Amino acid sequence: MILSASGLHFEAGGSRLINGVDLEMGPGDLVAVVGPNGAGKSTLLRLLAGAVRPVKGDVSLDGKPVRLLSTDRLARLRAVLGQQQAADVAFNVEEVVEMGRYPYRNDPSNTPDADRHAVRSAMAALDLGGLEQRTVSSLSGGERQRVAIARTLAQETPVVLLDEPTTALDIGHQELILKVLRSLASDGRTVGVVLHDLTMATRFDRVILLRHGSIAAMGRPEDVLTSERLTDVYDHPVTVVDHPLGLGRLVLPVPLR
Amino acid sequence: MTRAHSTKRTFLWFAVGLAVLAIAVVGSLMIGAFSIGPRPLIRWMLGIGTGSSDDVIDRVLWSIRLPRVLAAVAVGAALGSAGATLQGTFRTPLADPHLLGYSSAAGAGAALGFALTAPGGFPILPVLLSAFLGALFGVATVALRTRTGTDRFLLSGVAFGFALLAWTGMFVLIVDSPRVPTFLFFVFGSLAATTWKAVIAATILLLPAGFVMWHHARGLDLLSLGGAEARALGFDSRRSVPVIVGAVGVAIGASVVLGGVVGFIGLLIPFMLRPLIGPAHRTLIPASAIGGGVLVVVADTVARTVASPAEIPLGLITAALGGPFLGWLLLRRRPT
Repeated sequence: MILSASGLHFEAGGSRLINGVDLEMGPGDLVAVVGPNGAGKSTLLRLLAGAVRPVKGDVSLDGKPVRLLSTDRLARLRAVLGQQQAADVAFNVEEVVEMGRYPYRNDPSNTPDADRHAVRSAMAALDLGGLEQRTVSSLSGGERQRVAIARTLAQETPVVLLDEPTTALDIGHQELILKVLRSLASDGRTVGVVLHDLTMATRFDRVILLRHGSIAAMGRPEDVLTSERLTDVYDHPVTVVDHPLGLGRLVLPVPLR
Repeated sequence: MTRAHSTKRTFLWFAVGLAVLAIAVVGSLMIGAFSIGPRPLIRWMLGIGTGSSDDVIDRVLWSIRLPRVLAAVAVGAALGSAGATLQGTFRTPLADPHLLGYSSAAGAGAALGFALTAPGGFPILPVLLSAFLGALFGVATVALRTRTGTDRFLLSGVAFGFALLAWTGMFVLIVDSPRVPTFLFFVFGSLAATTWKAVIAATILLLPAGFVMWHHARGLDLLSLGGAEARALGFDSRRSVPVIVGAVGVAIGASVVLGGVVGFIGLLIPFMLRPLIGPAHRTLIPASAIGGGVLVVVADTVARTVASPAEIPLGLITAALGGPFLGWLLLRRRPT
């Protein structure tokens, strides 16, 4: 499914947060959205998800504007994970992952078996075995984050949008998430992810670099994530070096003196 | 614990709940100023409809106790399910029809309806209609207040409730000052004047209202993740919450017509049941209806027997239980 945005503008509290964004992501795309604090990454993701309406411009799924889709229909086309997850949830892990199946409750082609299978494979993919019956409020921040990602996977949508999915995770689980996202993309899904970790972003297929609500650069990571450009956009000296073991590249800040 | 286990456990709890409700109903039918033993009760039950109408037992049970006990079940079911539903909708265990000012709004509406139509007893339909309109007014203010954050939302409900209680008292006393029982009914709740007509009218309203609440149960589960998450998962709260809150208004209106303003049921029951059957609204809402029924049947039996032949208003009994409970709940709740 093709997710596209044209001429997006968004304002809140009198300030312009998104200022003329055009982009397109398609099946198999694994796209990272990066940029300094306040660049509009999360706002852009919420606009793409149809969670907020742009002041100007349109977001479309396969050419159909998302504002014309019902909440329910939209939930079967795109899954979205926000930045903050509620901590005081009294449901257990399995029940929360199952909530990802809510959009299919009235779908005649859906079966209880399909629900069970989606929930089980989402939990397995996120390494949640053994936590099924634990109450979410009793979990650590990182575990809660994995439960939330599993819930988004259980939605089985052609478009998946995640806001900083790896922030609360240890390095092992960060790698697991990247593997999961890659397998979603190779399944033909359209995957857009807001990231802070620029080294992680070098491993995506495409990178969108935002500054002040506009796209500063967009393209392959090796073209977008260069020392000069990052130093300019982040207003801080940044170096990009090759991994000593030849495993891609590392984006490193130069320490302040 | 596997899924099959938890389903089995839920069924078990429902069976236990229904059994306790049946015991409470039968016990309440037997206990009273005129006590009825198990044998005459069974004989009467087996003979319902055979028409031995001059029998004292038949008159006591059919005309007085049975409608009253059924009204208690209906009031408890309405308040219990309304409490569970409101707590899910507003994401706080402190949401209660009484605390949010719902019950008081319905009470004021009912009292106004009563005042405008009196004298001439207790006209069910006008009172029911104005209770419902009062509840809708309460709904509108609840909807307006949801933007203010939980603490202010609840506090404004309490302030609103007090004012409406005062208006209720004035409406009643202006037209009916010599009749203190009517005042007590509206302000403190009572099932003493229950009629079959009221029970039937209220039940007709309660069933669809209960169904609407239950129908939105999964959506209420999603709301526990937060409004934005629920919306992302396809639960359109802007569309559904007014429907849910409206259904709660209908249930509260019906309960006020039957029993006046009875507080704390919606607060106590879901809180007690959550640890037993879990937070899922598909089970919590019907379980709270059963639990509320049990509590009101027991409280009403106490209300009419403990100071017999005088009656203690039902709402006083529930407030005497619920007030300290609310205090405890507020004290133990971690600051958020």
